Amino acid sequence: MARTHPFALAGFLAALAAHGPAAAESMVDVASRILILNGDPESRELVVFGTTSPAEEIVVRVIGPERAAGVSIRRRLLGLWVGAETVRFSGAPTFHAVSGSLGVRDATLEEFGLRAEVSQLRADRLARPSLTAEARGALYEQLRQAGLAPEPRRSVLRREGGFFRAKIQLPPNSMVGRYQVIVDFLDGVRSSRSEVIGIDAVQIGTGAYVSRMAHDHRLAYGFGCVTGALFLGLLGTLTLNRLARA
Amino acid sequence: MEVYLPIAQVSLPLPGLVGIGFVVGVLSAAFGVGGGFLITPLLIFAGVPPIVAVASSANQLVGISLSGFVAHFRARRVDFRMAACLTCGGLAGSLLGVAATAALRRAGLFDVFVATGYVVLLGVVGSLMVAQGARTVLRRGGHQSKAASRNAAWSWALPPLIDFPASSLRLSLALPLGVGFLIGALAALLGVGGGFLVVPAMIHLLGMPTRLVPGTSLLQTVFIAAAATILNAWSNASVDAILVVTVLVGGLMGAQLGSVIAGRLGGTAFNVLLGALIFVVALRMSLEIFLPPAQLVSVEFVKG
Repeated sequence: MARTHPFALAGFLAALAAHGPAAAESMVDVASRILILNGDPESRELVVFGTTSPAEEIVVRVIGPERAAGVSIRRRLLGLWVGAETVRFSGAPTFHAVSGSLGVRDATLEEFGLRAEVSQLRADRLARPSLTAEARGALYEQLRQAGLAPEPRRSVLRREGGFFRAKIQLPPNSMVGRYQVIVDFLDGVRSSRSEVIGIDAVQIGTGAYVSRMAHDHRLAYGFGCVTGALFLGLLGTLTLNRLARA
Repeated sequence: MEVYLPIAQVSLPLPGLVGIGFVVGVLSAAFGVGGGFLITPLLIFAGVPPIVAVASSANQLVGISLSGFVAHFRARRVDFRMAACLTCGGLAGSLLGVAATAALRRAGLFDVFVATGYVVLLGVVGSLMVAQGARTVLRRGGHQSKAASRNAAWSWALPPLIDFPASSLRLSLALPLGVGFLIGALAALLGVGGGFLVVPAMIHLLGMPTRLVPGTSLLQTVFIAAAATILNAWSNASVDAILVVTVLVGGLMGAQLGSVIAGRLGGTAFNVLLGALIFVVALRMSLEIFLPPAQLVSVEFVKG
């Protein structure tokens, strides 16, 4: 299960204490390397923890699976809203969250934010520069509106002994796949070093089975959906008729 | 209470989805239309991605249409021979429509064609049905003449002529096949199930008695929607089975109520109400074209 296990966290912190502050400087981990995307908010919560020198500030980024993104912008044509122009970006993040410790400056958080990430995406060659710029802004806004790029926050909590912890919750519409947790340690305003941890967002149970069938056995799934709808339609009708007569 | 939709990748309230299904089920069974025009925008409004909403709507239509059909079948209000002819023509027409869609997309004219085509077609059909219904009410005090219905039938002599005993019609086979073909092609082009087009065509072009129209239309919708589901599942992997089951449960309950309404509607009331419904859809489409859309931007992520 993806839930944070309290004993795991306690054990980790005890191990850090036993090894002393020098060894603790480079230690970062996550409570679980698998998150389950479903209706339960707790199973979508990512807990990052570790230890560092009290002099260093911390920025935690969680970046979702990269995909090619097609951004279509509606246009008015001869007085009608029927046209659209599309720009395609490769390697666009489908999720991007940034969290910093209290001492991180606003400008620094912005540098690690989605806007900076989107500004570096590679667009298809055919798009006009003005349209590409508009599409970059639109992609940024869409991710924000969909809850897939929450505002940068200073929610990394510090504790005595250089321990820190951050919680980031993936929304239910996050994509299944590999996510990167990047922890940057700032010496002043610069990143002195960073740690990268990979986690997987998965679906389990009926949802996972449906998703796997839909993508891996498309034709069989299509026939299955039709058969299921026919069966349910017939069964429902007969049951409701019987209930109505009773 | 929320339900997680694995293909749409969103959690939505269960009562809302069941409610959407119920409304569509009532309309579907009462008028013999699939309800795709209504359920797709409602699902999108609820937060389902458009591509999943379109594909899942087609799948739930299979169950809803079958349910409505069973209710009409028990009341002996189905012309099987006519449904078979329309389905054969419709499936062939769909293939042409899919090819035409691809050509229009390549030419960059698809959106213009669909938007204007939808508004003009539905606007004209809706206006004609409302006007005819109103004329009948004014002249005959609400009773539809059987003679008027029969005169509307095109008794073409192009062989082979086929008897449709349930509808008391003798027509050239080319006529229902041709109507099915045209409806199928237009349905594929406009991205709808075709109920709005096939029902008026059954009444005004084929001259079928209105009491047989909903059941017959629903039977052919089962096949057309099944084909659309398999095509969508195969090409886009966009059918959400959990969403379909949820909406279908509400739809099945609605279909029972719709069937009762259909049995009590006279021919004239049926024409006027369906015409008004078509007219509302055309109006909604017009607004979509002329008013600035709520979402000027859409983003689609694909692997690669």
